[in-house]
Amino acid sequence: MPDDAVPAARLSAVDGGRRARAWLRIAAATFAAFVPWVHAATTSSNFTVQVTLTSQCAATNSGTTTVSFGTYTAFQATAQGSNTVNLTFQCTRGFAPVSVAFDTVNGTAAGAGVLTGLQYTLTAGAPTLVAGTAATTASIGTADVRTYGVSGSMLPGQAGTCAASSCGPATHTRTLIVTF
Amino acid sequence: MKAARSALLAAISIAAVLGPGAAIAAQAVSSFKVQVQLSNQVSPGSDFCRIRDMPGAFGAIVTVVCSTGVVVQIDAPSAQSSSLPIHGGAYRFLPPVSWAGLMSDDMTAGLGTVTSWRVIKLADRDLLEMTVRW
Repeated sequence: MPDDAVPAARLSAVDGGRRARAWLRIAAATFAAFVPWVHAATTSSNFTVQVTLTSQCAATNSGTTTVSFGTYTAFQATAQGSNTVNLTFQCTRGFAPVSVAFDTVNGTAAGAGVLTGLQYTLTAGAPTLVAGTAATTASIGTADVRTYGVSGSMLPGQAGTCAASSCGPATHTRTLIVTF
Repeated sequence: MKAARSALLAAISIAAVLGPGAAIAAQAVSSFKVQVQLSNQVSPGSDFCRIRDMPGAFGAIVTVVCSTGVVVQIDAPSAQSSSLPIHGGAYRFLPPVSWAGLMSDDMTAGLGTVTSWRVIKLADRDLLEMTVRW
């Protein structure tokens, strides 16, 4: 057996030592990579978010709508109706107005008025409701939309006031007041 | 100073009565226009009228209702009138004429068929025009 010859068992021991050192290096590198994760920790502090919401309604009509009675012939035998205009209000979701009335500038709160010497009566129907959508973390949501249909009627047999064979079309402004 | 303190106390009292949850009524308004055209012209061919509630007594007021819905009120004729606004024919007039050919305005009238009459004064004569309807 030569001097530099190494027995098989010895060879095996030398290889085992190298292999162990390699594994140790890998383990150390892995540990170094995960050091921050291993050391992370959390703590919390609660607080309250608070708001007071004042419910509102607001008219959303753009431009002026017209309740038109068309042409009324003096002393006509039948009542004269009008078209229906839809007046919309957007309100806080779930919030309902308590009452509606007409202005008292050009008539009565109940809806009566006089135009060109002709008496008329306005009526506001029960509102239709389109429910809004709730707010989310991604959207502010939408309002409830309440729409009031307003129409009018003139009694038959009225003389009117007109110095010519025809007067008009005459107009005046009325207002629907929603109280909430 | 006392006045200011009193005002402050009053304000605090009101706020306490109302409470933090008290809501003051608010309003939202929406304006619109009301429009109409008035016509005084009756459509042609609709002048057929009927007498309603004929009282049958002289001096009474009768009501004439036309197909257009127009209500014409007929008052008792004036004896002084030379052209009477009669609609429908309800009166009979008896204008007395003297032997000298002079017509007196002291006339009598009653139910009849004469609907209107008038005296037309010309330069050399007078004409009595009568419109009769039956």
